[in-house]
Amino acid sequence: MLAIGLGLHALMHYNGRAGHAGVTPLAWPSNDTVTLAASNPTLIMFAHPQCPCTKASLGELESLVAKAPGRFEGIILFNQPGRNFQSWTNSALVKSARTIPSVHIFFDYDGTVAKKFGAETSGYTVVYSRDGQLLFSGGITGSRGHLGDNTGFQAVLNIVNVTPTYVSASHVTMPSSRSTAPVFGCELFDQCPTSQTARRN
Amino acid sequence: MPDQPDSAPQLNPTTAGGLVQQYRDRLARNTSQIFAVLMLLQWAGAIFTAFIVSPRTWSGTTSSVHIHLWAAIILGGIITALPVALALLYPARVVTRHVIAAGQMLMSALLIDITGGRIETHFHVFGSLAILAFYRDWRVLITATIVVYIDHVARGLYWPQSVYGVLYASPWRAVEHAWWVGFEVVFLTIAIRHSVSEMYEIASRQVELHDSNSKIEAEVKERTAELSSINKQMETFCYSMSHDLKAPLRGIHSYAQILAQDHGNELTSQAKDCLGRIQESATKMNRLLNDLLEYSRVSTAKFTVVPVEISKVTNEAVRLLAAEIQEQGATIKLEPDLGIVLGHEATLIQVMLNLLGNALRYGKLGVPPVLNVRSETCGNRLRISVADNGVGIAPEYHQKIFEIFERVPTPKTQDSTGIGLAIFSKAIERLGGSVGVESTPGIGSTFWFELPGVAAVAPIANSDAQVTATVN
Repeated sequence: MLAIGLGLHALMHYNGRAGHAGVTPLAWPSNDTVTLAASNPTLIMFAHPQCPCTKASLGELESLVAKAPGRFEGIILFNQPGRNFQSWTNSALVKSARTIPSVHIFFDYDGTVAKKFGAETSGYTVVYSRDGQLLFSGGITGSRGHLGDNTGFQAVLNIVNVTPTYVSASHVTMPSSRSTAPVFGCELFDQCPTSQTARRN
Repeated sequence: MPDQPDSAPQLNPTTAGGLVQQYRDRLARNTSQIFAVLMLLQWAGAIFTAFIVSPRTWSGTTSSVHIHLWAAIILGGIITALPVALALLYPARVVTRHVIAAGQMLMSALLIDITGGRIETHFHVFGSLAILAFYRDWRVLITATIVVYIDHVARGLYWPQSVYGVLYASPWRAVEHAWWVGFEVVFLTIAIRHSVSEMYEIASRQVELHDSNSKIEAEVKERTAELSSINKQMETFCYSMSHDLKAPLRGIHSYAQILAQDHGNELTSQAKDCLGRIQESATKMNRLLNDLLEYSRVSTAKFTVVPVEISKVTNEAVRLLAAEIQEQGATIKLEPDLGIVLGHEATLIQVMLNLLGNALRYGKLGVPPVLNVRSETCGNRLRISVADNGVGIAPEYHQKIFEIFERVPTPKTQDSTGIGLAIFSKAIERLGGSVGVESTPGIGSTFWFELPGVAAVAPIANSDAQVTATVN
């Protein structure tokens, strides 16, 4: 019983350990890959193409699309570490992401864009308003690899359902508070960039 | 190591309670064995699922084995080991089923975690409860419910987001989750109690039926013994009467003969005719008594069965019928080797005498009888048949002719005692064989009998030499 208890504790500890969240700019950073949507909030999810826990994040994103159709611009940005990892652009996770309706898939060579947005953990999600204000940053799952009710998902859902969709929003008062939630997933980048040894799956 | 009974006393298996206990033990064994296989399959399934769903965890371009895979292998193994061991070693014990219940719920928790909290995996809990109900022991479901509840309470306190997806959860959420488990448990418990109640009803009826059958069997035995005793008494009476009647009959026959020989020339033709009838009647009566005595003998005598050559007994019967054969101009054709059967020589001579004698007696008028004696193998038995070209027998008499005093109503059978074929049938029956007839009126008849055959390995010089069995 002790062994089972310790084992379950270790599992819980791993599943509940949030990943690193970098510093996300409050205003939309310029980049060559993704652009801010003009009529809706823009949601970007940063993902590691091989991270098994991110399946749950994709599942929650799909749920968001179903619950708030047409109310946000969805983008998934997969990290591509370099030319040697060309095969990662066609991983099972990428294929799974392509099945989510109304979501655009991009590949972030060497994680350049992810670093601009402060993403360090797979599943890290940011939501910017039409005028480029940060509304949400963090994860949309409750723990590593687990679907189910969680504060991040609920926060994003509230944001996209409250935010009006018409273009002219000068007289609309945007949500002033920014929401955050812990993110759970694999690290997007190597821990020691100076000693990169790629081990393919 | 044999499964030792639990501390509860073993009830008498002839009572309803005892029968139910036996059945529940058997049920417990079977269910534990089902769980042993199921838990091993679950363990393998958990490892396979973890390998497919989350084999490695990543940090940029480097990876290592995912903790889920380690959990499936190690934690899954620990959860599975004890229940499976108990299921195989002590399948019927009460502690086994409770350990299995706890293990199954812990496996549910592990599978839910490995599959990322999929709602479908939660059904494993409810499916497991249904299978645990196979034990027909509602207490097992309580153990399972407690494990689920402790899991939810503990995780709700230390890691609520893993269960409810929120950082702070009311303790009542645990009750709500356990409620759904309890909901199923309530109805399963009702079903189990009904099932056990039915078991007792069926067992009670079984006991009643068994008692009733026992009484009937005892009565049947008693009645059979009575009937047997009466039969024996009748046979003894028959034998005694037949035997005792022979002496006065001999007297009648002898004195009639003396009268005919010494005073025949003093008698009128009418008186001579009466004397002739007296002698004839005495002869018939003597024949009837002889047949009755023979019937009585074959019915009661103790036979020592030995290998008997059919050719030998047939030749003896032919020799005894030589005068009749010559008188009728009959032809007897015998197969060179008719084989060997397990029987009684003297009785089989009588059998062949009856069969050949009948065949000679019931030939067609003006047609010399032709008799064929053959043998054929039927499995481990030998069938001996005597075929004739006589008057034949109508089908409605094929069964009746083997009964005592039954005869086919023809002019030729008026002088028959009606016992010959009954003697034949009884004799073969007592030697463990069977008899039969195939006959067409106007064509002829084939009488046959079957007895256990013996493979001939050496000529039998003395039929007493090989004693194989005694027939009572």
